[in-house]
Amino acid sequence: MAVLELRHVYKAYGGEEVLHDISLSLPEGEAIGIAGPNGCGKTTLLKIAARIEAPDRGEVVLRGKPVLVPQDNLLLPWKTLRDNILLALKPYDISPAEAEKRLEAIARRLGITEHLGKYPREVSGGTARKAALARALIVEPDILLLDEPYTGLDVASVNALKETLRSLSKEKVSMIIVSHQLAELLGTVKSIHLLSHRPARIIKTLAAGEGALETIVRSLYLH
Amino acid sequence: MATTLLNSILGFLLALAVSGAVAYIAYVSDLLRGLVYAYNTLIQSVSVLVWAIVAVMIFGVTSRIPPIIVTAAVAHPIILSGMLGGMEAVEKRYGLLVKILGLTPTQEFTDIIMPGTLPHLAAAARSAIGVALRISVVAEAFGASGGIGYEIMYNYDMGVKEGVFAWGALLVALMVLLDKLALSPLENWVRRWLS
Repeated sequence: MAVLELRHVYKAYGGEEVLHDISLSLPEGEAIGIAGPNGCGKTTLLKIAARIEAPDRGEVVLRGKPVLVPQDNLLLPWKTLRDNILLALKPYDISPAEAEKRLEAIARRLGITEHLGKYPREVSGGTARKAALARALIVEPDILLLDEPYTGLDVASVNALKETLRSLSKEKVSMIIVSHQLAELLGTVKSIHLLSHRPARIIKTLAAGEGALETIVRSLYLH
Repeated sequence: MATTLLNSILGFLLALAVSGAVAYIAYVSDLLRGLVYAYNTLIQSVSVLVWAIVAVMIFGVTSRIPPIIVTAAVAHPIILSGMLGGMEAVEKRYGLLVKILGLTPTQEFTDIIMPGTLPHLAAAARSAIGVALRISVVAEAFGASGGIGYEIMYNYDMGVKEGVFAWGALLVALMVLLDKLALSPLENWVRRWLS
């Protein structure tokens, strides 16, 4: 069963159409990727999927709680990583003991326990990205929407993050990952939707198997 | 000297409190924000001389209140401008985060807007308290029965040039000391997470 469906979604800003007739579905426990040229509307698509923005036309059907992990982390510089992560629980009625229990478990899993007392400026890009992911995971979402999760990370951090996302996927957390780093994306998702230049349309959907990278590159850049 | 410093600090604190309340009104609704911007433009346009004369007329020549009121009136738009500018920058930077997390307006104000605005406020406050100190002296010269402004005027009336220069120099020394020992370290402390 699909936990998220976009049905014939259209979106325009100031008269300029950004998304044109986008339909896709995210099966429960699966990770799918979205790739496309810079500025084509990938982030807008994620915001609509997260119900942060409304489509002009079309429908968003959610069967679970979505959480968006933004590209630039948006960690508050005046809070430690611990307080940044716990901030996500503020709108929920969760006891401090339960919040602490969740924090410890997620921090241990992501390997950031020793950094919890530090401020964002004091940690590496990879650790900051993991903290942003922890802030999303602490609310126990059913759907993770990741916007360019690999951007700005070194090779080791990319590999660690890929491993984390793969293990989350095995635990039936459904994910949409937007990325222009195709090799990394292919190593994490089952299928990829390719978007065209603005206004973005889905021009191809393909399984992330052998030969996918070549097909994507040809579709996006050599046509 | 203590009188002038106390007048300046009280005026500054009054301006800080009023600015905080007005900034919160601007945060609550876009309509009110428009009014607050218009109000800020209006109060910036009022001359120090007008504030001083009106305050002396209302509270009397010997009252301690005019220097405090005048100082607050002059510092208030500086602090308010800093707060409004800071609020806008923080809202623009972290607006998406507020939507992602689903924070309530109160949670947004206490966890994001207020702490995020502090560095902007610190810079504005440093400037405002410097202005407050200088303006407090002007207000003391008009009314009041103490303070550096009063002493400068008294020495001027008595024709004691040395006294005028001495009290003027004391004011400059006071401002430099205040900036180096209190305001600058305070601003650096508040801005520490931006470095």
